[in-house]
Amino acid sequence: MTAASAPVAPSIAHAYRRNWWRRWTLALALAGVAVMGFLLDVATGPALLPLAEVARTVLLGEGHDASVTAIVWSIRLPVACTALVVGAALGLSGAVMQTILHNPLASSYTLGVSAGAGFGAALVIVLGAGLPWSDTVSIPVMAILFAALACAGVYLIGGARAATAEALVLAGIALLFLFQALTSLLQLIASPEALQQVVFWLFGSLQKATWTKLAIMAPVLLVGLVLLWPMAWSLTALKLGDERAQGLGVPVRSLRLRCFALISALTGVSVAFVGTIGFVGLVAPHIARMLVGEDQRVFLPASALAGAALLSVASVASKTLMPGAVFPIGIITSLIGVPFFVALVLRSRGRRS
Amino acid sequence: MSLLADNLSLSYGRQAVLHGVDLALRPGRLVALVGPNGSGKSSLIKCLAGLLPHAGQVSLSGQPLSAAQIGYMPQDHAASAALTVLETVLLGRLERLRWQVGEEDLAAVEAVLTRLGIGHLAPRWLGDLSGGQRQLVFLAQSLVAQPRVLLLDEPISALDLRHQLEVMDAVRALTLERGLVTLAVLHDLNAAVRHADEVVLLHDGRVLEVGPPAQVLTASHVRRVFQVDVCLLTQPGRPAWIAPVGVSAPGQPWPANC
Repeated sequence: MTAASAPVAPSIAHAYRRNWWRRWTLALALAGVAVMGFLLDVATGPALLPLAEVARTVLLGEGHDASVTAIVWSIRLPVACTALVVGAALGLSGAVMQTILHNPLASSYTLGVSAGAGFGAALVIVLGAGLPWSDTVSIPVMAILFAALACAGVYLIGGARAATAEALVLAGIALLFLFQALTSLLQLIASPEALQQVVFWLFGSLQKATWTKLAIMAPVLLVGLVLLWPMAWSLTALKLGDERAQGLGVPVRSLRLRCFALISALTGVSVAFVGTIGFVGLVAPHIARMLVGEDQRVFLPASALAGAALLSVASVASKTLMPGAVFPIGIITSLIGVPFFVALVLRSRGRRS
Repeated sequence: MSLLADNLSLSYGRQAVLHGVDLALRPGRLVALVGPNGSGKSSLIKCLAGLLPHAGQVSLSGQPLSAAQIGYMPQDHAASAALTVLETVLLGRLERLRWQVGEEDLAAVEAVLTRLGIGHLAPRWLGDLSGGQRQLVFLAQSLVAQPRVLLLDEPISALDLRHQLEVMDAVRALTLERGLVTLAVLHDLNAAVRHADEVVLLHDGRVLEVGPPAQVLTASHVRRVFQVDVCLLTQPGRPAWIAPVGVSAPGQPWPANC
């Protein structure tokens, strides 16, 4: 008989419950950072607005000052809300991607899904003048379509077989190059107006945010969260490897396909409206993982919150780094993200040796 | 509640791995599955667990075997997930888990961890454990949902001697107590002799012999299947000890110094 010699924790159940609430508290702290970033995001700009006035205007609908109310509601709020929604969408899709591909370096940006969506959107901007639908509809549709194509590429090369992490990342990089080359080709043949639009948009920018675009993005994010909700346990099991998850009753293949569809939608719709914003989808899940672990019931919402916080803070930085100018936010996130990415690569190499 | 495998065949592409395997495993008995590398042990276990598309039938007391009745422990324990031991074991009850973890789920986890003597590991991160501890954790995971059939792929390969004994004793006791159908892939023939009620010897995807250890693990069988000459050291009232003498060459006479 096994000797139960080792001391048993006083109550495993009690410790589990306490840990569970501690994690949600940490997730809530991320939400707090996101809210702070959001308020600062509304307050900063060509005219610096007092935070109290901003909070009042956002909460009550109007402030003491009519001009502040106008600035906040027509210009600042769409941008700040877009930062939250897009940040959350990118964080969430990065988290799902890292989970289903068993790879900490996976994200829409690093594996070419964003580039695919970018190509789809550029296709509409450059060649789509004759389409019967408005750009607000056709750009996201094409972006989602090409994001799905890129996902299919990653899935076929890396996900379907037990490919190594290296093979997967290489496949993603190949797709990244392919779609970048195709986008360059489009730029070459584009009219000057379309070219300007494409370039601006390749940098990634929140400045063209409108309530209409938000009305498309926010529901997609919401639907994504709701659909992921019941998959949380299965995704957690998938973290233990395909074979073990399968043994536990997870339909691994269909789960992965459903997740790729969601990633396509989340990435596609984000990229369609704000351009390719790098590294949020890579970094946010790592922050969430460090804080709450990988029980996906907490990990997924925490990744979304971390993404929202990151992009809001980046948005503030993009407006305050150089007074009077707004940097494209994609440049800011890349400047923050690249060192992080390098550190990650070095760390994972150190662990293996 | 016997587990019957009827004419199981499996091939990866053109390469046939299992050729019409028939098995009858009775409840309450610990059966060891032995055979050389590449003989199809893991494939057979996976077929029984319903994880590989195969020809032939698997049934438990006449009914098709369902996933909920199986506790399966794969060979690979290199998990990089940021999960605690408790969360990992909890996943063994995946089919019953609701969004909010229930008291009975936690009680089941606590019971199985205590049973295997690793209750103190519950709050630790999976990644911080040694290979042997991880193996115990995954054994706990395969037991926590109270399966009828236990399929273990090399459950003691990463364990030191003491833990090997403890784990196999626990598996055997649980097998008896709960009337489980237990099949464990074992590489160590002496572990099979010591712990198993029955041994299935697999050779090139076929069952060469099934029966009590002493009947199956004979010097001639071991030589034929593993190409190794062994001495069986027997003492009255104790299981035999299989001592390898050397790699056998075709036509070589039996070693004289047994």
